Amino acid sequence: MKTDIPSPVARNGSSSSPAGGKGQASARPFSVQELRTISFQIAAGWFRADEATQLTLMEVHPWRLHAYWNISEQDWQPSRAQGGQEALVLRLRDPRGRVADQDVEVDGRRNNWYVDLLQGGGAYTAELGLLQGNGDLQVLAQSNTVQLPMAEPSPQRDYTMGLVKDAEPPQGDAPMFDKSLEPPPELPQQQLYPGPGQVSEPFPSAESVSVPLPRHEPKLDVSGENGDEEVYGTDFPAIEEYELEQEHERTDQFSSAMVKSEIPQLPAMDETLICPTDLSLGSHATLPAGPSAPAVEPITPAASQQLEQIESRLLQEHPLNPVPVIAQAGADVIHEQVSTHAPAVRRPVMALEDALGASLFSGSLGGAGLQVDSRLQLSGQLDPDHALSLFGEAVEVDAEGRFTVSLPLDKGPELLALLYRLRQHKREPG
Amino acid sequence: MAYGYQCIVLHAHLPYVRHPEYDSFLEENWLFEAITETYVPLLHMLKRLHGAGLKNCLTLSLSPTLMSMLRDPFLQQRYLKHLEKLLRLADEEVKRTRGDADFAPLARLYQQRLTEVEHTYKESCGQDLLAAFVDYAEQGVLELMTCAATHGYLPLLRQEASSVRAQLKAGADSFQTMTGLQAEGVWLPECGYYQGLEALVEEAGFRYFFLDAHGILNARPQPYYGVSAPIVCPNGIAAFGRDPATSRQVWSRDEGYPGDPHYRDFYRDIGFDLELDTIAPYILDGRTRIQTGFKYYRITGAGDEKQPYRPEQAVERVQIHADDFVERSCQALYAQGQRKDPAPIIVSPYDAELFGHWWFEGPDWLEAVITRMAGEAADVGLTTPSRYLQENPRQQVALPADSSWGDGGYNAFWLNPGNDWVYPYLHDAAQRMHMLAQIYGDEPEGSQRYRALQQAGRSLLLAQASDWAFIMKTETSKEYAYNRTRDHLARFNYLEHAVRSGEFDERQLQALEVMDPIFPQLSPRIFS
Repeated sequence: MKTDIPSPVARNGSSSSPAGGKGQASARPFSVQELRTISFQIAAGWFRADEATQLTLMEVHPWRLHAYWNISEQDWQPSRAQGGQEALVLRLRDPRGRVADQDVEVDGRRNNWYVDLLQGGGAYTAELGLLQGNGDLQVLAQSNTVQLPMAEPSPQRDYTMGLVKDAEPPQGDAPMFDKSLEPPPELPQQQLYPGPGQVSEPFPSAESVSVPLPRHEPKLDVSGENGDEEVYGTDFPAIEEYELEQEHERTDQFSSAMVKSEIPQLPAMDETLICPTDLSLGSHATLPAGPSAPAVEPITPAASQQLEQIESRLLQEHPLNPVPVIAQAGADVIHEQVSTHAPAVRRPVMALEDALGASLFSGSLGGAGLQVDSRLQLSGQLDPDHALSLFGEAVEVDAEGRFTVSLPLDKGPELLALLYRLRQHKREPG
Repeated sequence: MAYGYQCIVLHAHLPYVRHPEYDSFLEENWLFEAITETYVPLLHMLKRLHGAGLKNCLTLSLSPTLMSMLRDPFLQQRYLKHLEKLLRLADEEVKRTRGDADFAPLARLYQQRLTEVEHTYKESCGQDLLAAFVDYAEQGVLELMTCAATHGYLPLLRQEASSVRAQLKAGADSFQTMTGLQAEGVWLPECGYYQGLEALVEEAGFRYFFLDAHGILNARPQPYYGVSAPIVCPNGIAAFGRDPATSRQVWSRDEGYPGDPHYRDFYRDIGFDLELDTIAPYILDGRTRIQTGFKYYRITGAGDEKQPYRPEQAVERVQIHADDFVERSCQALYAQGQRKDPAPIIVSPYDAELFGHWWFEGPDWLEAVITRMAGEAADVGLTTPSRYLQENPRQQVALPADSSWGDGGYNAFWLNPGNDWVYPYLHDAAQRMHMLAQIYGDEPEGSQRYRALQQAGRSLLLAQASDWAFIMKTETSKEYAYNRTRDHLARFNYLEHAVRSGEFDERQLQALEVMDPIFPQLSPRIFS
């Protein structure tokens, strides 16, 4: 059955009010000019912003947050009374309330900011406040919680079948969810369709198909020469003047280094820089079919306890989003990845390339970029303009940005903490 | 016996461009060009497919804003005037190019096509293209679905869940009201998904939606079949993943079919090529050059030098490209091991306006592909999402990953320094609308307060359209996008004040109803 829509506009081109509007004082048609006048009057007089104090976080992509805020005049007054010299900062926290990153100093003239994060997939809340001399934060506004997406295949494998809503089960009384089914065997590799043969290249299977993954967008200038004004917010346009040209200068507070547990402190990062062209897999990386299924050697309780102690110490000393990874010399794989935000919670076993590769290394993840035996061999490719250091030592990078690093591994489990620090930099507009 | 299924999905959407406060308005041409170059040619294609007895050829998503415009008598009248002007221009072009071996046949081609469009629009469809699409859906030629009310980008509206709920519910209601059909599927605007959205999709009465490939591939647990089968969310809603390879074949400027040098070039148009005095009677205000649709060159190459368009060469390329697409699909399905449960499916969604408007030969290519796949001996079978789910009701359970099909795969295209200013306003208005609906939602229908509340809801929905943030980012009609956002938010603020104060200016309220008459049956309670 079809329903006609009542016409709000007269057939002769003049405009009348909608049919069905009871209680209308007049059905007199509108002239074009009258409509335009009313439209202008309302646009000019009623576009206004909310003036209440608030802070909102939004997800841009797995590695970036956007925060916008408003602080009411009333809430600014105590600060102004004290001279208003304190820095306005965003403090990110994890869902348990622990500080999740370094404070991000923001420009008080702006009302929004973009924050880049080391790891995708985290959950964050934020406070906006004034940093006191003793390090305390005078909180002006608290945000909502956001959950950033994971930008990689899930390591979880579970072949549970379920019925689509309102569907007839294929076999009468089949259950809504059925865990009893075994996954079918792996798909055959690259079978060529025996058709007429117009297509010369084999077609990739669905599981290995090349997917344009999102890039980590910032094209960062890490020269460190433009750090005078560090701003990364955007202005709201004025009602009467719409101006989109804005500066996109910013500072990130992250650093990058790889430290072994025995190294007592982070290496100095003032001379060397690290800035992979792309912190994700690259724009057209090949997705792995899933985490490998290694023969995992169990970690002894004593070793596990020791590792947790090291991990806790590292986290206390360097609360910068480290990615501790437990490695074992002589094994093919890394045994566990530990979330920095919830050290007590072990994530599922992951291959080292899954744990590290998605964060740092572009290119193939299938082992070509990383090998583990008695040594951990890492290779990757950077923007040739950028430098790399590991453990405070410059790594040789060839003209095309390729590098290979080999690190000795001690016998038994080891904890590797991978940290990034992108130094002060300025982003090019656009 | 087919190795699996191909599901071709076209998403037809335009923002609500309707300006009775002006005698003519440039952006209304977006609708008029799409009617002439895409929607009517698609109807011509459907007519031929129907004549050949083919079923389940296509899935077409019609956005509520587009449906409203297609049904709007005011815009229908304006379209007829536009079409009359084009027909006069066609006559002039036939005269102007007479004797020119390259261009005269093309001028006659455009004249013939416009005459056919006029006949279809006025005579066959009685100016109601939507009804024609519904007829073909009822005949089983295609499946219709819809999307969120004004194409709001839902991941960035989630800060006020009532707005996401209202976008989906108003979309579903609007589709049912205008078509008389119940949409089983919803096109999430820009394929924008966040975990938890599936609950609101279910609440609005839909059974399935589409995601970009990484929304499926990064789902939890990892989907066994990748994008070659849908997954089922824990609440039973199915999610289909876009197949990257077939998408690239059509979308990609470099690798895709539409970039073939024999196809017609989109950018060279007599609206820009002819002397202003010659073209003036046929452009908007006699001064502002616009696309007319009369384009005489083929893509040729990357440079500015273009060769005349040769339709007969383009026809040959269409057949070659259709063969290539079909064979690639067969190969991809064959590589899935000829499994039966669940049967493999390739989902290939595209913007409908790509076909005919941007890619002139697109409808011909689509028809060639469908015709090949619909053959009884074909190795790939055509299907629609509902039909596929009917035959394959049991799928792997997994929760999709946050994603979109925009550049970068997440929210960055709709949240960046070029457009981020809109969100504080949108979120604030959404929260206030939620409160208004809770307080005043039970006002008597037809009362001034109820009408003002309804209109506030319309204004909010229109402000939320993803198109404005998209346009601000692409900087194509930035000022227009800014003005639309500002105007709708200002109208919302004005109406909120009226609802709260109880002070109504009947004339102004009527004017707002006249200017934004979308969703006549909108219930303010959907915002509560």
